[in-house]
Amino acid sequence: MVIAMDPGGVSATGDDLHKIAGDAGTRTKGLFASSDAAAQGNQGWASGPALTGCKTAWQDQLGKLIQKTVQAGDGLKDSAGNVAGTDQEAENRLDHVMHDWSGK
Amino acid sequence: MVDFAQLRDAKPDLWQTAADDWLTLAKEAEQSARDIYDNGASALDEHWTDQVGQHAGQTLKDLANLFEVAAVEIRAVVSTLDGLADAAKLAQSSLHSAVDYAQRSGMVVDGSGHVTMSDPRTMHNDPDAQQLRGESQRLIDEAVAEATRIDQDASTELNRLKDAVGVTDLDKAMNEIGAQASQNEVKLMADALPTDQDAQTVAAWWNGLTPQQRDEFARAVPVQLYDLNGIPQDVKDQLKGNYGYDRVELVRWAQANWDNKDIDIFDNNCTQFVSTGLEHAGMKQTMSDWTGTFDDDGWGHGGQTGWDWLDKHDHSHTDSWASADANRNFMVSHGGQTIPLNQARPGDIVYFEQAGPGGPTDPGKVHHAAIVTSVTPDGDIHYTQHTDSRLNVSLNDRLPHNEVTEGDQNIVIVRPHPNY
Repeated sequence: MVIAMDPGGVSATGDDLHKIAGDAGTRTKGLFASSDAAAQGNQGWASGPALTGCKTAWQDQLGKLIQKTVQAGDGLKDSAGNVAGTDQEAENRLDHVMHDWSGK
Repeated sequence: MVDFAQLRDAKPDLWQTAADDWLTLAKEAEQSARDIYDNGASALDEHWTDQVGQHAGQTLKDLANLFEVAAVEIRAVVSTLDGLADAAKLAQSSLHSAVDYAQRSGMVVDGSGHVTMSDPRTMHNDPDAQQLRGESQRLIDEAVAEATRIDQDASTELNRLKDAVGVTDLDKAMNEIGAQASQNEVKLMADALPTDQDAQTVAAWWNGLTPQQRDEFARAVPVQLYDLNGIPQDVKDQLKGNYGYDRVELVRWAQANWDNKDIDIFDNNCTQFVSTGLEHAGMKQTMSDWTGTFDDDGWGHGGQTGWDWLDKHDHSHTDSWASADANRNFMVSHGGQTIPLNQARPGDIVYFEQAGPGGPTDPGKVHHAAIVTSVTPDGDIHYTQHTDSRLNVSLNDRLPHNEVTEGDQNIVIVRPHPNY
């Protein structure tokens, strides 16, 4: 298999993914607190615990998506680094790296 | 079940603040999806072209899709919280009005919402006082019942949305999960109506509303409001409008027939649905005696056989009857008014005009039409349509996704007012 990669471009894409994940993490961090406040301020309403459950589930899910984005960035940077010493072994390592961060 | 004190002490504004934060979350998820497409997947297409690179690119596209699904589902949470905040505010306001009404009538309302005369001996011999006490109690109990309905529907929806976390199918997120949340937002407003009360109680409830609250109900749930026994006739007349068709009947018909496939005869029946609804609501057809359904300046249909194939192929409909672009042009050139988005009301027609490239039609042309069936207090326009069949879907929720798949859109609201 022939490797057709511009390692510099791929590494930069990995950096971009790290930035996307970092920005998403920073900007969404404080947005769940108001759901807790709404639940606490409306005692006796079943919607309070339901919103808390929804919040917990989405906080977890968004955390996972952000983490996947970080892993994708890591995978691209590792792959770009491996190509520096291009040989068949590097190709194999690439495949492994790609499978690791894509979860497939 | 919400009780008197829990409604009295509720802080609906906190639901609204939470809704605003969830909306920001949805926008962040949309932004992440775009960034991963643009700066991740597209960049890899350029920098890594072998098989492994293609696999990596696909993985990034899948990741972007997950962010997009998240955005759609989070917007469904926004719809639910917006509906909860608006409906709970109305129920709480109704409670405050009822308590105020009781107190102004010389009664005492205790901490559990029980109404008594300040001097119980008076009531025994005073039928008017007994009646006032009964009416006050009914109004208070009704407000608490409204809050309970609202809370049940909102909590059920939030639990459903929690269970939907992890869905990966964008179509399912948009057309099932998101669509149901849009419908539920409208239902939450209907929950705040005194639907099972007598005319006298309804009239007292209506009198306790501010003009803004009355308008919120009129825009969100016009049919249910119209059907309440005890609403003043002039209010009902305003709801029907004076536009050459009955706007309440148009909304009622649309909501009753949103999934009625018997109406459909064309490949795309969005405008057929709008036209059939307007005709049902009383809008008169107009066609030249000479050219009939070939009249470029007419709107109508010829005799229908009931055989779909024949009705579709016998040229028995004007272009304006079945084509969204021609329908918009006809309505606007025959007395209809183009309305700013923030003034849309149920009974208007919403047209999707192509604004940018990459869509189903040329920029400037309309490719879709639907009936506005609700405008919730958050300003969100809900519409009902055919092809595909959808009930009370939210424009705010669908537009970001539509613009991704169909290019930029101009949303045009027209209030038909035939002048022929």
